[in-house]
Amino acid sequence: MRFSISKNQLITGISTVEKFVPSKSTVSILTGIKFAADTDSLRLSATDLEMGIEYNVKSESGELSIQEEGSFVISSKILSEISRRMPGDMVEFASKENTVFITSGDFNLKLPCFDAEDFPDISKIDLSETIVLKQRLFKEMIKQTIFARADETTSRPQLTGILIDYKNHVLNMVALDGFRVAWRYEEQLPEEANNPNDFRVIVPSSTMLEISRIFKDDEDADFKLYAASNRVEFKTENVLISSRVLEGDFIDYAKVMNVEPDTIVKVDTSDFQSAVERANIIAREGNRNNLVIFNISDDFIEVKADTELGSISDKVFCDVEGEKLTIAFNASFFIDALRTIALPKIQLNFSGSTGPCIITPEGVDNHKNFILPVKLGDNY
Amino acid sequence: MLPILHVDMNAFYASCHQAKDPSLKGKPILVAGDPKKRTGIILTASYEARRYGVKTAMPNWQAKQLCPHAIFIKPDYDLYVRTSQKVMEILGKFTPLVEVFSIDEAWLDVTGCEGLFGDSVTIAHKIQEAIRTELDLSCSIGVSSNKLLAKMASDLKKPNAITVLSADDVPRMLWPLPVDKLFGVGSRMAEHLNLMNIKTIGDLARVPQELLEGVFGLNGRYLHLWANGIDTSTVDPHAGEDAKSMGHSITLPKDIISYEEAETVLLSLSEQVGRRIRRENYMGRTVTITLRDNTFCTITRSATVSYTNSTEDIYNLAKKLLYSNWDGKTPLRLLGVSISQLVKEFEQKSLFDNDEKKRKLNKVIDQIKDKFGDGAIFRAKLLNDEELNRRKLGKSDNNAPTLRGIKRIK
Repeated sequence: MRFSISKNQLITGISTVEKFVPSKSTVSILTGIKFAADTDSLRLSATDLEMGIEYNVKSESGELSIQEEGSFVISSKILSEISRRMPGDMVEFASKENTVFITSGDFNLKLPCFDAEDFPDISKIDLSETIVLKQRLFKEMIKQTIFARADETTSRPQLTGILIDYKNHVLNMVALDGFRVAWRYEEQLPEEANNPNDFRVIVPSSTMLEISRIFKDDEDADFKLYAASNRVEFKTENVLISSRVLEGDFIDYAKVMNVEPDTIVKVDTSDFQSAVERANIIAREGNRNNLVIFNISDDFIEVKADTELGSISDKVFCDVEGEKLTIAFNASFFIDALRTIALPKIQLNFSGSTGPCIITPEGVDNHKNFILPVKLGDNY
Repeated sequence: MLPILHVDMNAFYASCHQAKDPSLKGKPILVAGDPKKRTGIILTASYEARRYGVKTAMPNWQAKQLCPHAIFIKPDYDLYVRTSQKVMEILGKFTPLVEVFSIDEAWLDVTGCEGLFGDSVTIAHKIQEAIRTELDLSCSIGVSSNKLLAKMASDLKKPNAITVLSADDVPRMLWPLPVDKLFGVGSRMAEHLNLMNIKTIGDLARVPQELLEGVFGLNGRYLHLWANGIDTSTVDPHAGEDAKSMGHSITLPKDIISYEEAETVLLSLSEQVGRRIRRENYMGRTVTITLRDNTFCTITRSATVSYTNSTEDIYNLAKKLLYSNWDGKTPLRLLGVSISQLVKEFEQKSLFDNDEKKRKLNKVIDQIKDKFGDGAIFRAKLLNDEELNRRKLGKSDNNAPTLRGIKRIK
């Protein structure tokens, strides 16, 4: 195998795939990156067996020229550090038996390599194409849900992932940890949808975070999503990401969100967010686990925090319909949710002091945050 | 200026008994755990008994050999707590800046009290006098410029002494002492230091701070500073008011050599810890277990979850820690469970019924135990260990009726 590639393209390729290389593995070949060249393209792959990636460079880009087809696997760590420090603009790779020779100007590097035959396949061809989506939109949906996932200490491991639930041409993305739910959905116009079947997968959040990192912000960059019962693949123009999925039940999110409100508040997003963030400065330092109290009156919410370190009170004026209410929450749950809302006004639906608060940006119904309160003791 | 005092009560437990019952005065008194159990060790020996070589933590039988006519007394913790409170009250008359360090030790900052009571040495004499006349107890007092040196000073001369130690005296008075005399250096740390050929406090003071930090981490920094007599902490009257952790441990009646037995003990300890934090309205998120094997090698291991105060959560985490840190064979002599990172209890509503059920279950178990005694209800798993069963069922916190004679279910 023999090819030369521009240093820039090489660095881009390596930095895209290297996050998928496990830092430690009992299978030593996995600590490497696979290079595979065919007549007109080069493919870089990496995987930790949970998730994997392929990055494609085409020779028509002018940054790659392939002299001889073939494949090899070399150490990710050494290659990553050295590629950034190479002197020339073009880098030449040539492999012979178990050795790879890397040349760039007067620079020469000789590295041992693994046999690419032993490297696991990233893509499984048996998946049927399901939906086509905008990368930018998908990134936004991830950002608006992923914070609500359960952390590693949960007794329900499936909740550390993000649910992608596609039904009736609607793509739902949901994360929840039992105390809160973040739900975002997007309708697919029939002509865009390639008549896919409904599907439901829980994708590990590490995969979702890598997708957010790699996907583009371009207005019209698309990707295709392939789903099967035990794995999922995301394919853009030059990248393919595959991942195992998590098994287990997910709560019926639409059902829990279906609560009749007793109190409806319409408030300026940033005013309310600032008030909660200020209150949390006291709340998070004390021994009360970020506890903030909302006193909802006729035309304002009083946001309060009270710990052994001090107390804070703040008023945010707003429109209130329905009953007055005193209710307490973990402030960080609100801050996490409010940070993902770009629209200037929000609506908060409350249903009593032990019921949830459902946050929706005003005039939008495809983005909901559900937060359960903390029950206040008798001394309030 | 040497404004910091450290007051250390002499042979406190034994002295409390002597003060209460003057007929015990001048006699060798040993306050000791139950002689029938393995926990039977000397908690405090009066100075009369110490002359015979009896030391704290010595097994009872050994103390008896050394001092056959000694009087053994069972500990009376109520008496010690009451007496301790009286001591602290007396200290509080001299300055509001009193930091209680343990049941029989406290620091005072007497800055600004000179006008009222005289200089710090005079105040030390007045304190000693007040404790002697009002409580019939003796104490040693260290007078210095910071808390560390005051504590080291009170240790230098006992009983009933006042020792002044200024920063200039450190090389002369502290450096020649063996390194384990330094505050914060326990026997294991001393062993470690001895291996590094650091035998005295002076040796330690001369080791560069970076080197100690390399070996002991943050503790290394303090070792360096303390060996040089440097301590910038202030006397904090509110220190220790907020509980930082709660835990229980037990020296086992016989060594444990199976997971099954160890689990039973952990469950019993987790239940005690859970009940205690629930009673005091706390929740915690870090669970720590202590394992001591038959060679007295002791390790502690912790793990963190989301806030909880349920027995189940504490036990499950403790069990997980046990399995990842014990081979199931090495004989265990002591087991401990504690929970830390405490916050005031809160009831975060959950989507899952289980969380709600667990909370209610623990609450109702607590209520039953409060009303009918510890043995009135317990987890069936605890039925499996007869030894533990006897211990649990035979004793009750509040003299409520307890179940006896429950046989192991075949």
